[in-house]
Amino acid sequence: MTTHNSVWILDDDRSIRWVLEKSLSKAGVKTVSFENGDDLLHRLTRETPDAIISDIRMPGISGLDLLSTIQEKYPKLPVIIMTAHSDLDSAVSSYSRGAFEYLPKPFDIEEAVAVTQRALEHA
Amino acid sequence: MAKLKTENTDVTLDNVHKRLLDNLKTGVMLLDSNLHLRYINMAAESLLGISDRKASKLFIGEIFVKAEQDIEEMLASLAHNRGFTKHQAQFHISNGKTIIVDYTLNPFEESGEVQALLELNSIELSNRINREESISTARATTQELVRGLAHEIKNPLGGIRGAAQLLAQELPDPELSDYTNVIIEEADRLRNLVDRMVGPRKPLTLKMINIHKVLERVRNLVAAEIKDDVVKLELDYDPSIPKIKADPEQLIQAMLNLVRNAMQSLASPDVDHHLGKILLRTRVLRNVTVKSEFHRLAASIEVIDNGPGVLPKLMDTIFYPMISGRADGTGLGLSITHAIVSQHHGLIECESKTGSTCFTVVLPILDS
Repeated sequence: MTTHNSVWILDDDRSIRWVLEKSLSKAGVKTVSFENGDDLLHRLTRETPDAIISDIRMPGISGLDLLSTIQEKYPKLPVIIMTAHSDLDSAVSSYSRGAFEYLPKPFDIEEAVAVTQRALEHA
Repeated sequence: MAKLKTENTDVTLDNVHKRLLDNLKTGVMLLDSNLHLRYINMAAESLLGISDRKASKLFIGEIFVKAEQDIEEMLASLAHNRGFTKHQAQFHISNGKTIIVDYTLNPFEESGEVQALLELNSIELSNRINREESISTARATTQELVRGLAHEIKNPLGGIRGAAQLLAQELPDPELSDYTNVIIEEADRLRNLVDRMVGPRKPLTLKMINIHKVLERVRNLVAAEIKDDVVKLELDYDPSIPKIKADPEQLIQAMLNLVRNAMQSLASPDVDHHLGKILLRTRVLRNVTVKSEFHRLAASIEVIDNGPGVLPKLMDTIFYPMISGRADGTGLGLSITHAIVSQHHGLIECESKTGSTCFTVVLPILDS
């Protein structure tokens, strides 16, 4: 693993996954997408990406719970939390639980790519 | 125990009793056999709008204007030494206002002298508290709904906006980006709309502020929009209002929405534009209940205009988001103001009829 360019995307919204996959692959980032957190956690037992972009509110395990789990087991793995939720509380609480960055939806794709690249440099 | 003569009457009370009576929310008056006032507590003073010094030895008929029937019943009650209670009695009081109260008169004898204890409970106050509470509950439900809706709207907006941006990058002819720009800009417009519907979500930055500084800032902001010959802005400030703990930026926003609404109402074609007037009035209120909490002091800020008034059918819902009397209105101004005032633990009320619309913001002043 010489370069850090593998990112996992977690969102139950297909169009968000699609937009992120497209924009990131254009920027030369390899992506794998997940619809739910349980699948992602399961795969984490076998391999690790360089960064994760996750929504907060999803069926199954929530993004914030996922973040806590990852923090505990993979403390060095940067996680970018996305949310369409308008309250600042979730942003504040994701910071306090150690999210690498916070990306409010709807986002600008250039910003999404820039945030991801910062996370990869950090990885 | 120290006995002290109360400043307003000839009744002697010790400190503890005076404090007890002044802390009651029930209005208490002591009347002599001819229904002249011997004592009045603070709740009654504030309910009846009379000051302690003026109240001394007043005849009850000077306090309750044109209440002959009630006064006859009170005199009869004293003559027969039999108390009575009346519900929902309506009284006109000396300051021109009308109050609705439940009252109880109880005659008793002390050292051979007949006197009567009159207890007053304001119905209006409890109605007002109930109304404000039901508005708050409804508002919380709406808020929940709007937040859920905002979440559901912003997710697909992320897809739409992102796809438009990706498409723009693929376009061979830069001129074609006009098309994708429209999609992106409109997506941003929708996002801004739902953000504003959700309302202020920033935690307040509280400071001790002078409420008049807020109003002067609002006045400066609208000054450019007001043409002097069209709308006159008048000020009636009570300089004795203590500083309040508030977020000045948010309060400016809240008051600006009220003043802008007043200006828009005066700009309507039904208004004689030479007579358009907006009055900003501030007062100190004593012993008020705001959101079921009792406050010794509160600041009242009124924005009064002489425009056509709020449509009666909108009256119950004007503080909800998306409710507007104007075809081009977003219906967000008053809901934002309501949210900011609530964040400050205050209340907002509206009274409106043709030619006189008054929005009153009441902000508690915390005891230092």
